[in-house]
Amino acid sequence: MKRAIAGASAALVLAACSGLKSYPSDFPANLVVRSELDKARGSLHVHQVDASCRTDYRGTVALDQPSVAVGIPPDRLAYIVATFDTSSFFGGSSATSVGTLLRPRTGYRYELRLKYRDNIYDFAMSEAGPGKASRPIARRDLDTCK
Amino acid sequence: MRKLTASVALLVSACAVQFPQNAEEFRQQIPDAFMGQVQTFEAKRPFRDIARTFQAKAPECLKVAVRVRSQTGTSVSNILYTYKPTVVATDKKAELHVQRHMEGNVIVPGKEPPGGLYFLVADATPIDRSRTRIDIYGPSRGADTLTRAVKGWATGENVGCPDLTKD
Repeated sequence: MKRAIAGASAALVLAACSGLKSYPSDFPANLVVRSELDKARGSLHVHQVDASCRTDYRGTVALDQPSVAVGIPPDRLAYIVATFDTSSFFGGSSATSVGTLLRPRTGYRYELRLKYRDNIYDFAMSEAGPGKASRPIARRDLDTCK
Repeated sequence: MRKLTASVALLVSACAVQFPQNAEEFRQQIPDAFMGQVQTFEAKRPFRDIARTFQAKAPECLKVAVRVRSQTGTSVSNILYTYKPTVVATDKKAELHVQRHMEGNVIVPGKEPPGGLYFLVADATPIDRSRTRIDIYGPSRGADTLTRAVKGWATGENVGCPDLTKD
């Protein structure tokens, strides 16, 4: 039986190689991940990014609920990677991931909407300041860090 | 399974056909190519909106690398597919070119253009102010998810990104 395992980002590969660990909730929740996943399991990998744009994997949150709150250190650059894992009897298993750089601002709230259906996914981030309406923010690849 | 089939088909067809070196050559060769197809439909959406969607979604969704490892009873395959999207837009036409470069235990018996082999080309041309003609050139198998995503971008019905591990 054919077995396929696929990855879509170096970040995911690095995270997988180092071993996944639970993301510690040391900060007040400022990011809410709302996911609608059909025939896929989702997870969120959090990396800190230093001044040289090197990533430091901090942990993973299972997106096993429609809404999951996460605390990302404010005013520091992070790289947030969402992974969709799928598997089928004949197709084996595969994983695809998409990430964005994010520097949360103090007092702001962030929302990440994830959808996966029929092998098509959506990844949409928005932010809302105190007393302000939510606005979408563009995804930033890791290679735009420098 | 589909990716393996497509790769084999690609290599077999490559023995007889020279790889297209640009989008225009790809358009010309696909209609007569083994496992090639052209899909044409009318999108009820203004041309400019579709061009903008191509310009926004192509780099967001298709500038990716996908590694696929597969194993059968007698062989193991490990291929890294690196996709390269290009959008060329004018007032009269918007073109989406998708190229794919393969690394790993795969042999590409022919000259590969810079950026990889042409995998799919989608053209949008205005019919009138609210309708646009879409022509999609690509393989008949092995690009189902990508093709569906491009159709979604054209119609505006689904602007999500394709999971290219499925193609």
